[in-house]
Amino acid sequence: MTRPGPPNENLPTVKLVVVGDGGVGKSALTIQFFQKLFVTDYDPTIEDSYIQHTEVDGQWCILDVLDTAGQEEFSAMREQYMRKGDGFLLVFSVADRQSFDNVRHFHTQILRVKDRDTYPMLVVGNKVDLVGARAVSAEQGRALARALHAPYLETSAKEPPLNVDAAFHELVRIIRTHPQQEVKKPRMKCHTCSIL
Amino acid sequence: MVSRGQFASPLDEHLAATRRPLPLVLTACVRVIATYGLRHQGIFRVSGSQVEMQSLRAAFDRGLDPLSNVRDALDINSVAGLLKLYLRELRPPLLPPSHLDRLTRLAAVPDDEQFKQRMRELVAALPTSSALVLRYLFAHLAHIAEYSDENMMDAWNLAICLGPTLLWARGDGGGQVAAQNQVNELVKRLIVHHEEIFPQNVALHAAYRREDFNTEDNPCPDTEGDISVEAEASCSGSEQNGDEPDGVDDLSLYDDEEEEEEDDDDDDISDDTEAGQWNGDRDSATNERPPSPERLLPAAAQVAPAPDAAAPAADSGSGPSSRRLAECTPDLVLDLPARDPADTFVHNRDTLKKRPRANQSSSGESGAEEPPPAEEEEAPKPEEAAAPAPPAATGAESPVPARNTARVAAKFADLTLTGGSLKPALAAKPALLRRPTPHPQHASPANTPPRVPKRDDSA
Repeated sequence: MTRPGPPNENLPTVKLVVVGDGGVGKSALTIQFFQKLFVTDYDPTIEDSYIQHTEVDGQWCILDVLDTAGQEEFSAMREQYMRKGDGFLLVFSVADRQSFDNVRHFHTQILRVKDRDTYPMLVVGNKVDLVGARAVSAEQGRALARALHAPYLETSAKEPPLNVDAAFHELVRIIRTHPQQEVKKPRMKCHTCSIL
Repeated sequence: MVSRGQFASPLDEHLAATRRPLPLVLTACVRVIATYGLRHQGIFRVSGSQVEMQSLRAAFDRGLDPLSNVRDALDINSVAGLLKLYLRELRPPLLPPSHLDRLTRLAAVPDDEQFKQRMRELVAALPTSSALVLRYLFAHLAHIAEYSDENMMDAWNLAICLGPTLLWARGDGGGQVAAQNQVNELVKRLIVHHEEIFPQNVALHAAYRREDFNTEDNPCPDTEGDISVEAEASCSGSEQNGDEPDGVDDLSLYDDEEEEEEDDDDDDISDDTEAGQWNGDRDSATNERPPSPERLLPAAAQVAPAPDAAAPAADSGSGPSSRRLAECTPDLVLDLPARDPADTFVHNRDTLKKRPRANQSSSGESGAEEPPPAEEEEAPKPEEAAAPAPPAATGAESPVPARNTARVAAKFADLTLTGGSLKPALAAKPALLRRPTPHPQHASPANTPPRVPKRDDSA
C-alpha cells in the first residue's frame, strides 16, 4: 500500500532467459507470465523478448525476459544470449522425457559459457496439467534439480496457471541472493560461489 | 561400402561412391518420417534424443542404414533431428552461404510469380546434386505441411525449424534474428511453391514419390514398409549407374530448351525399363508429365500455371494450412475466466512496458524490410478473403478469428513484445505478440528508456 505503482527512479534490470527443448512450453510460460493468457498457438519461437516492471519481495526491478528457440539448430545463438543472461529458467515438459534429459545439456552449456561452477538457474517442469501424459515424475524432477544445484518448480501455463509467476519471481530471488551476482565475471573460475 | 565418415560427406562424393541418386541419410530419414511421422505433432520441431542421434549418425558414418528396420514412430523426433543434423553438417551446404544476400532479397520479392521465376534461375545455377536433394527435401516438407492440422507443422513452422538448418543467417544480435526471419520466409515459400520452383520432369529416379510411403489409412503395415525399403535398395543397385550422368545433364539444362526436356524423358523411360520396379510404376502412377514441357519455360509458368502438376502444387502447399488457420484452429485462444479487465495486472502490481520503436531503425536494413513479405504472403491464399478481417491496425487480412483478435486488441493494446516471428497470423495480431524488431539487448542496450508512450498503431 505504500506505493501505487513502480517507482520512477532507475531500477535494476534483471535479464532472465528461458531455455529448454523445442515444444516444452517456454513461450507459453512467458506469455502467461507477462500477459496472463494461455496461447495455444503452435508457433516455434526464434527469439522473443519481453520487458516488464515487477515487484518481487517488495523490491521493484525491470524484468527483461528472453524467450528462446528450443531447436538445436539455433544453438549458434545460444552462447550469445547465455552470455547476457543473469538467470535461466531450464524448462522441460513433464510429458516429454527427452526434454527432461536435455536439461543437463543446457545447464552444462550455461556454466561453460559463464565460466562458473554455479549460476542462478531454476529447473522448471512444465505442462503438469497433462496428468495422463506424464513421463517425468516430480521426484525425478527434484532429483535432477538437486544434481544441478538448482531449485525445482512444477508449472502449468494452461489456465488456471500454476506456479508461473512463482517461477519467474523465484528466479529473481535466486539472482538476488546469488553470491556472485554483484561481481563481474571473474577471469578464473571462482569457487566461492558454490554456496547455494 | 564407403570409407568412414560418410554421414555428411560431400554430396557428389557420397553419391558417386554409393551410386545413389540421393544421399542415403536423406532417403532413409524421409522414409521413416513420411511413413510414420506425418501425423506426429511437432515433427522437426520437438528435439530428438542426442544419444539416439549420435548412434544413428555413427551407423551412417560406417555406411550402414540403421533406419532400414524402423517400423514405428518411437524415435521419430530423433530421426527428424538426424535429418536436420545431416543438412546442417553437409559441406558444401545445399544453399550456398555465398548466396545469402541474394536469397534474402529473393525472400522479400512480394510477387509470387516473380519469386518463383527468380528462384528457378537460382536453382538452375546450383550443382545438380544439390538441386535434386533440395527438390526431394522440399517435396517432403510440403507433404508434411499437408498434414498440419494434425502435426501442427504448417509451412511456416517447418520453415522456422529448417531455415537455420538450411542457411544460417549472419548478423549479430537482433540483426541476425531479422536476417534469419528472411531466410525462414524464403524456406516457407520454397515449401509452398516447391513444385513450380524445382524442375519436376528431370531425373525422375530422384523424385519424391508419395506412393513410396504408405501414408494414408494404415500408418504402419509391415509389408508396405518393406516395399519402400526394396525400392531404396534397388535404387542403390548397379542398374542406376547410367542415371547419374543423365541427371546431371537433365538439370543443368532444365530451363533451356524443350528439346532437352524431351531427351530427358527418353532417358528416363529407358531407365525405367532398366531399373525394374523402382521406376516401373512411376509414370503410370503420377502421370504428371505434361504433353509439352511448357511449364518449364519461364514465361509460361508465370502467366498461367495451367499444367496438371502446377495445380496440385498450389493445393498442397497453401490449401490445408490456410484452411486450418481460417476455420479449424483459432490461432489464439483466450481463456480468461471472469477476470476484470481493469484489474488484470493489479494483483502483483506488474506493469507492462513498451518496447521502444527506436530499436527497429537501429537494426539496419534487414529489419526494416521485414514486414512486406509477411503481408504479401497473405495475398495468394484463396481462403484469406473469407477470413474475418482484423481490427484496423494491421491492414492485412487475418486468418485469426475476429473474436479473438478484437478481444486481444482491446485488452492488450498497450502491451508490446519484441522478437522474431514473421508468421502472418501472428503479425496480424494487433500489437499483441511478436514484433519484428531486434532484441533491444543487442540493438541499443544503453539508452533504452524504461517508459515509452503508447504506440499509435496499436489502436
